[in-house]
Amino acid sequence: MLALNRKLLRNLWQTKGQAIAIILVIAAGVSMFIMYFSTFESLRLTRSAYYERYRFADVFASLKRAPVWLRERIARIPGVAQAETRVVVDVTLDVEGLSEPAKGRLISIPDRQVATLNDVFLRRGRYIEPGRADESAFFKLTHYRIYVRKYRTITDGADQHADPQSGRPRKSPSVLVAG
Amino acid sequence: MSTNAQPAASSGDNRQSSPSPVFRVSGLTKVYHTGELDVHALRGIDLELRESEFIILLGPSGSGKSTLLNILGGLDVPSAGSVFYRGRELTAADDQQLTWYRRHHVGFVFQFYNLIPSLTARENIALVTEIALNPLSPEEALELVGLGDRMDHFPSQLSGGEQQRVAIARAIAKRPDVLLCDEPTGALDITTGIVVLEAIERVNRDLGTTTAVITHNASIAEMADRVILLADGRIASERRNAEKRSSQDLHW
Repeated sequence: MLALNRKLLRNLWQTKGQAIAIILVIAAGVSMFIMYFSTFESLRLTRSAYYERYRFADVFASLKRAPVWLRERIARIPGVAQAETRVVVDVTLDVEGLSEPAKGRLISIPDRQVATLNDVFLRRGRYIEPGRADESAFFKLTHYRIYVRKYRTITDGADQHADPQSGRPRKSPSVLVAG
Repeated sequence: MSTNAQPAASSGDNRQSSPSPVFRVSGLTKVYHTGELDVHALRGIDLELRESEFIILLGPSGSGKSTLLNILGGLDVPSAGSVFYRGRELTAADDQQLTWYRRHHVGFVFQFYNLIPSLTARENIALVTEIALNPLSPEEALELVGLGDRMDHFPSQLSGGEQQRVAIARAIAKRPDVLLCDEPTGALDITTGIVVLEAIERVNRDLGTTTAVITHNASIAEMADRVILLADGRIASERRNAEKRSSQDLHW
């Protein structure tokens, strides 16, 4: 054995208490680092999988009056896999039980369910069906319609009145609220 | 300066064939810049050291002895002047060449022994012999300084004189061409000092190692071939001893 290695071993033996303490501290540090790194990597993968499964967009931008050809132009940018456009409108809602008007956001979705970014995830029920009596088109645009479904019963003053024939409270119009 | 010069095996041949000195020093100047004050340690030293010569450097503190020895040993560089070692200019050598020179050509002995406490005498010397090109064995080196029976003792189990002899054995184990000793007896009493000087004398005589020893003790000068007295960074006087005295005949 080389004399320098002997020196190293003897010095380590002479300071074995300190050496063990240092080894434990380093081991704890390395373990913490590995745990942190694993957790971080796991969260990153989970986020990535979640975004992929629900087709969440990576980049958002808000603007006014974007022509349709702009979407095609954005889609042609290198690195862009998919581009979608939406109509987003903020509205004020009178919600029963709230003393002040609530703010709502109306977001357009395709009138037939197709795989798209920021898709609507149905927990139960069905996708919208244009033309149904209990669904209303709020706006008609060139390419998009915004549909809303009743999110919470939206009432106005007339809703509070009972039906004069049945005596029951008059049913409020059903609308679809997305957002 | 060549980095692959063979230090030991060829140096013996050089001693036989080359009349040139081991060291040739000319105009050696060293200035330490300490703040606004410049300290002139050496002021134009001219010197030659011959093969197998034993020289003593005498002088008061601050006269430049250690600075001169450090420059000769490649531990320091001068501010001006030149040092030639066997015809190669040390003052033009780069760090790598100086490392090679120190490792294979020069042995150092200092006032304080600088032994590694966790290694035995044998292992302290093995540190050098494991990297030297043509070394003595640690046992041979220790026998040469009279410590054949103390090889497996740790420094704490040795007296000051014994520790210094281990340091000398470590310095000569690589068969250096030059042995440079900076006050090797400075920390020792007279009896122990003489034992250490005997070891140095034996190395110079038996291995033919060119030896330079710094001391404050003028009595030690009697054992040298040549005595150089330094004062204020200059060589104040130089004399050659007509007759060398044995270290055992020294008194102080």
